[in-house]
Amino acid sequence: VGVDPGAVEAYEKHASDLVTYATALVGPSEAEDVVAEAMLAVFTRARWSDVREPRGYLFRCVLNQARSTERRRAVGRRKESTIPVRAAVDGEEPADLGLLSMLSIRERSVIYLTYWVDLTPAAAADLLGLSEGAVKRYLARARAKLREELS
Amino acid sequence: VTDLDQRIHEHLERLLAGAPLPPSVQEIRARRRGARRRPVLVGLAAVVLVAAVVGGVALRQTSGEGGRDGAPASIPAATDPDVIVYLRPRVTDAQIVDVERRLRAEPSIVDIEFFDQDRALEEFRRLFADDPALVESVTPDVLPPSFRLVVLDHDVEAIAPLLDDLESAPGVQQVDRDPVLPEPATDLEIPTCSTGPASPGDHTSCPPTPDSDGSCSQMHLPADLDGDGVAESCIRARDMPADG
Repeated sequence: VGVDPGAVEAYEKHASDLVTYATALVGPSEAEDVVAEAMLAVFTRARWSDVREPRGYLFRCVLNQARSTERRRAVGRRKESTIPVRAAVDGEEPADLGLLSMLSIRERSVIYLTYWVDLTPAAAADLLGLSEGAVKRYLARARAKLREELS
Repeated sequence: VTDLDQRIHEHLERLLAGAPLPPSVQEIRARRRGARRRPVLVGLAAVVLVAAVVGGVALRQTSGEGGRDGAPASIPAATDPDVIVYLRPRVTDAQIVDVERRLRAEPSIVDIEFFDQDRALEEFRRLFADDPALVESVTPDVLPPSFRLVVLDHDVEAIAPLLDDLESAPGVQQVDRDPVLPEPATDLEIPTCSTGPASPGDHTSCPPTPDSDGSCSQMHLPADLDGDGVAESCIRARDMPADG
């Protein structure tokens, strides 16, 4: 199965941004895996010629993958909580993400884009395919949680 | 810049300093999608819930025990849609554009993916790989194209009014608000089959088993699903016990 050269080029251009983004979403230990899974899906399934805005598209793919990784982890935790090895691995997660672990993935996403990439709410909304209002709500909620934690 | 902003920034700086190097394109392509997840599926193997639509009739089959509860989170669905809007097989381009415009106008819909009839056929072939007669009976023109939607926070209720409207929109066949895309049939346990000579049209005869060296030269079931050149049931036969 051939991979669209355009998709490869777009990935290579944004690879380090995408991994940094994934790190903010799921922590350093899972970031590479999330990016690789997301990009595998892009390489094997996406019709690259239909993608209008590559950077935003790739960021959204990473975000979606991060969310499904997190969902899967939550299910795995419930099912396998009696297995010590698994429990030990899970125990490291909060430390991995630190302060951000108390936020939802979307809240982490908005925090990262606002504080690290310096995007305005409008630009973040554009990138994530959300409304500006939604981004502002996520941001406000995230800051409120962090303020409470830090106080 | 407030103290809070400052501290958030410092925290990000520490966290992101630990970011790994990006995987190379080669590393990514060498992966088999979902490889790490397949063991979970063994437990779900008896559960199939098929939501395929053929010739305008929605077909739902359930077999084995279990239900939908555990499935959505565990099954690595390709797109993980929250809603599927099935269009009529003979939907016009103008109707498709109109439906898409209405979907795009809804801010709570965060991802929209269009499945045309070719893609629907591809998916259908994958899902029913164990039923060649059924697969052969289907041509792209009878399968419904669809929009696959991901909703903000998976809150499908938030867009209920739009979905209600769409149900009666021209060109729309059905709106599935809780779609469960089954794993491809090939991930299921191969049903008990007779070992006698197969009669023509008898699809319950045994599929060939892997060669003694573990290769799969004789296996016609199932197809190579993810394009990595290795048939998936081969992978299952060889790798699953070790993974589990």
